[in-house]
Amino acid sequence: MRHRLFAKIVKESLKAIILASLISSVGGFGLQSVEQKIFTIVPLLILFPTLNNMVGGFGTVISSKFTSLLYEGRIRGKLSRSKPLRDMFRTVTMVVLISSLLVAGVVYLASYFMGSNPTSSTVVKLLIISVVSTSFIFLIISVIAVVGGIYIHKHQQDPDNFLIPLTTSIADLGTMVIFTLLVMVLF
Amino acid sequence: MNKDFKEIFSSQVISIVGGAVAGIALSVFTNRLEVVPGLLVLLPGFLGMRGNISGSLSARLGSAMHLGKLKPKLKNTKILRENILATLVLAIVVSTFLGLIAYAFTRFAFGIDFPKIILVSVLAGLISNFIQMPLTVLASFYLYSRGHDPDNIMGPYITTLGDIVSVASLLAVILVIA
Repeated sequence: MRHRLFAKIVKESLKAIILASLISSVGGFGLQSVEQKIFTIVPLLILFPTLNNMVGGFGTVISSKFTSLLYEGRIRGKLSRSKPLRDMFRTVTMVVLISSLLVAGVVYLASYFMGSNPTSSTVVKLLIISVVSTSFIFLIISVIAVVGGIYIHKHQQDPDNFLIPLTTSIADLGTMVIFTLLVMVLF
Repeated sequence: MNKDFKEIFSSQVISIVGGAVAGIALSVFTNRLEVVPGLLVLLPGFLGMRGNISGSLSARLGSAMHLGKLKPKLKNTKILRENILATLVLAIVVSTFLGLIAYAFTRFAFGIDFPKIILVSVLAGLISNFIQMPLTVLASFYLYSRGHDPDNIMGPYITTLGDIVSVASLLAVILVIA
């Protein structure tokens, strides 16, 4: 049949992409409510895409790494006693903490060179937004990846197909919600 | 420092730099962005689109090359042609959908009637995909032919490239029509 591959790609991708777009747009409703603050405080406008990018990446990393551990049969018995799982979380937690500090630093430098020169109070607030958002979302997507991964794997399906869109969408939405709340409280 | 830490951290640094470049581009044009109602509703979905569409394209090409169904060469093959066509159709449909959501939200939540936001979304979506798609295909072919696994490297590459190209396309369209 002509264009069979084309039809298959569009059919299989469309639902997931539309759902992901809808989830992202819901987060955008929150951002719109703090529009004035985002547009007037330059570091916030630089912080948002930077944070969003980074947190989405952690969703992919945790989901794909945990799925690999499941396929390799390295998750056995009690989760709390699983050494590969502990090692994975220790490594990713270190990256999460260092990256969230790095984000605040990069945003400060970018704002400084853009002529915004943020005050020390703004720098502390940027740091709080970066560390709190990243840590909180990391916690949520870790729980979803582990619980969802085990459930899907038990049902003989590939967790990669489900967990990556799910965790990245939740990471995107969660970042926007926490970002919006923290901007409302701190600025 | 273990291998996992190095790989994850270095890919995150690339993502952070890409995000910061996109943020800087946005902040340079703050005055023009403020006059586009609904832009912040559109932006997250628009930025997410690059991973969902170009990321999937790269993953499909990677799988086809791993399975030997596609050679890493720019030839008019059925697999490549239909992947590109599907990517374009998805980009048009999703950009229109995102534009409609942004329009509906600003219309009903703030009472602002700004239908141009739909046009901004569709045109910017088309421009960014016309730039991103060939770069994604070429990078996947190049990496595979050099013995790398595109699945491991394309993620941060697409996120970073996508952020910069998406924001630049959005800004270009806003500067021209909004």
